[in-house]
Amino acid sequence: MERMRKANIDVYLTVMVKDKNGKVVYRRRYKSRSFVVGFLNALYDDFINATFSGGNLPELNAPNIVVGSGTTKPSITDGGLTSQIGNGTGAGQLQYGADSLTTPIINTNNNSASFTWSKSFTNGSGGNVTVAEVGAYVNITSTESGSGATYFILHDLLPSQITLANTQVLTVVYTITITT
Amino acid sequence: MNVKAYLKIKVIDGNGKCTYYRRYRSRSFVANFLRTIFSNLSGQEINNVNTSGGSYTISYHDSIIVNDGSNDDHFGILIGSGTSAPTIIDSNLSQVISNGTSVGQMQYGAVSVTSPVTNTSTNTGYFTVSRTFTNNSGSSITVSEVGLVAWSGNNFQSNQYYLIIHDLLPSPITVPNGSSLSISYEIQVAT
Repeated sequence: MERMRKANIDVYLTVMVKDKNGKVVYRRRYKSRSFVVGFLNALYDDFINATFSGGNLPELNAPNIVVGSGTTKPSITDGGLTSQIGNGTGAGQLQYGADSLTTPIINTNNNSASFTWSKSFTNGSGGNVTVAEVGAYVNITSTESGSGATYFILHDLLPSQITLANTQVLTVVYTITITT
Repeated sequence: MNVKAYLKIKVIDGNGKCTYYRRYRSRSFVANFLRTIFSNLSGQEINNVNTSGGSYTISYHDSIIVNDGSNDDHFGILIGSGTSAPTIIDSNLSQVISNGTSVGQMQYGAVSVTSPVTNTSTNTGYFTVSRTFTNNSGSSITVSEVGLVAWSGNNFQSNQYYLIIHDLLPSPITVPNGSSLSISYEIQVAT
């Protein structure tokens, strides 16, 4: 096999913890290895103009980063986190913020482009909550009918678990980069 | 890094014999692809560049459709004769070889997209996008670049054609008259 240069979609995962005063007390950045088959299925449905009930013309939407406490190594067929932490203020829960995406930055000097996709999780449970895994969902729905399907596309096991004390905020950032 | 694209190229002569085969690791996604995914996910409208070089606003309803029919060179896999190195802001091939049987043209087959295949032993998955181009122009044609163009759809969407992958071949391919060229993009993930 001849090599043209390299594969050109990279994903980085940044995790950051702030205390109740907004001070960053923990930050790590990993090179993610995280796309699972749901990403292929979603892209496939988009590529083939998949028909859903009531119409076709598929669109990608509903980004949803999730966190969990499972410690099982991700596999290609994963359809969700091993043990997702629920949204709320009960014991073992975290309050889920909104997903936020930044406009892509194009760098013509090094032929790269990237955008970030992030979400914050606040611990209002009254006790510690440990986060060990991160993942993300998207939907592919018909523009015409709104019907469609949900796909689990990313799953990362954190190299080091993070214990969030009460009132601390965890921010998860996926940076999706392409280089040409 | 766990999304890879491979480009497979095969030339078949008039007797059905394979006379050329190469498989390359692609370096190929360009900015339009990233912008479209961003717009879809964020619900924000931003500018993209169509294959004519014109700027347009991506609707977050835009699709990424590539399964074009035969005898059409608007979207799907396209081939060209340009030799410029791809850049992140490319909006089309440098020199598209158009559909037809005239001098310098090739007949575009329909685009085929196979269902994803998953291998749990290796934690990998892939699907392929393929198209065959037949040379009935009366003389040889040299192909030096390949790209994948998507269609946004034409309902609530922008109704635009936009480049998402662009590869310059390490070695140009000469396709004799009467032969066909098959191109496949294999998009892989590994967990």
